[in-house]
Amino acid sequence: MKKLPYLLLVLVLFASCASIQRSKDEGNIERISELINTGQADKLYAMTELPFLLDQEIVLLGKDVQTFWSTIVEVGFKVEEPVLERGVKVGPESYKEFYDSMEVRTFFNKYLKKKSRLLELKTNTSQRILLLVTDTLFTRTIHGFKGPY
Amino acid sequence: MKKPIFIAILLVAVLLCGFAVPNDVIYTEGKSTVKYQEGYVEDVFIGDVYDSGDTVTTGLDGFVELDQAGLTLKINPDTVFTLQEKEEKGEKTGVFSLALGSIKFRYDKITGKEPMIQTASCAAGVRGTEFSVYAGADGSALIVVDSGLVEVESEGKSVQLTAEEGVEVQPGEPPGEKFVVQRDQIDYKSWNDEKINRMLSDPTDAIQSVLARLAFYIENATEYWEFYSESRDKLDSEREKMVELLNKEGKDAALKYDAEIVTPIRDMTRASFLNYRYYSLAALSLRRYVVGRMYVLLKSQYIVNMNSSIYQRFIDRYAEILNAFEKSIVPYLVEADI
Repeated sequence: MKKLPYLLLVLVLFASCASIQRSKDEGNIERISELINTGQADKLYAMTELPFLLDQEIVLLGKDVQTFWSTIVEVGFKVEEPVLERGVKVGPESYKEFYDSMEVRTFFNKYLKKKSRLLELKTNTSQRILLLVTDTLFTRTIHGFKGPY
Repeated sequence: MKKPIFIAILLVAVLLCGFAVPNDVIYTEGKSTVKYQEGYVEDVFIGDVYDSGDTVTTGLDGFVELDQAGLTLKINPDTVFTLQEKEEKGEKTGVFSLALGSIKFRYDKITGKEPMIQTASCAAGVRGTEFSVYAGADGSALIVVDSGLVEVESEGKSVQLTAEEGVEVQPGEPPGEKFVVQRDQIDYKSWNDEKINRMLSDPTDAIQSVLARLAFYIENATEYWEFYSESRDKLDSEREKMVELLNKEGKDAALKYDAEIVTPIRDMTRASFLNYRYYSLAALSLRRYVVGRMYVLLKSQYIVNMNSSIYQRFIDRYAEILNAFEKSIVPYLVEADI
């Protein structure tokens, strides 16, 4: 009976950690969407780490990543009213959400960080986008983009 | 199945170590990286030595100069270049594989054993002393000779270029008509931009040509893999016989058997290994730098209109490439290649 307060404290701490993580995930999708919507391709490029995963393509060259971000903003791509559907730590099977292949599996195993997260967002037109993001205290890094689908 | 392949690759890779001609970095500026055969990536520094299987990628401001015993390679910005080896006519040949970008080659002397130069669309045999090779985003290539002689081969046809001559080769096609060109007259960026614009105007046609080239790599990789597999089995069995002979008839009999029977099979195994890896890595390079770049360009261009018939036709062909690559090339790759 004496342990009950400790148990409750652990549960409260656990819940607040989960809620902090969720708000970090929400912050990430909002920031990335905002950069896309306001046409800030240079900032998106600066946040992107190589190699970068675009759907099932492992993009190795900085020029191609630059082309991707600058072209999508040029053609008027927007992520309207993004809502975080899901934010999970990347696990051994996460690669299948991008594409089920040896190349993508290797990308996940080899190039993502321990703290990388898979974020799924939904737009106001019900389109979904997957993002691979790692954030630390001062930096936010984009590793992958899939969609819209 | 994949594990034994991986182990076999490692074993033979160990056997192959030490055959390649080292390439010393004698100058570098801007941002450039090297991906070593073992799979890790580092920045390029003066004094580095690169070997077969290593890939140098120069950034938009990057430039690297390599020296390989009498040959200078000037790797221009925005270039992807791999040092490879293959077996041809019973001899190991170095291959300079240019996936994207441009390189200027300058030989101090020609020995007749110069490495072959490979792009996504053609191979060039070197007889010349100074020439440039350009590889475009659509897989096409442009070869321009400043001095000496270069033979360009594609789809079973070849053309010889002498000083101040150039030729363009589209993927899956024989070399085009030769043309006269002055030294350093080609601007890679304008030439490559033209390729990109043409590719965007008819992406289905562009990717179809690449599919033909991929089919060529798949056919060769599969053929050499089968040779390798058979030779390796035979090698294992002959080695067992050699051990039996050693136990029964002694060291001299075993050494004789090794020299007469085992060694030729081992050479054949090594050669077929080298070649199936060469064609698999050439296919990977095509997939990564040509098909991958096409996908990035098309996906970003059509991201707000993915139902467009142009995009859909491109995606159908792209899916064919992906399927063929995964079915026929991925089994020959290892994680370090990715």
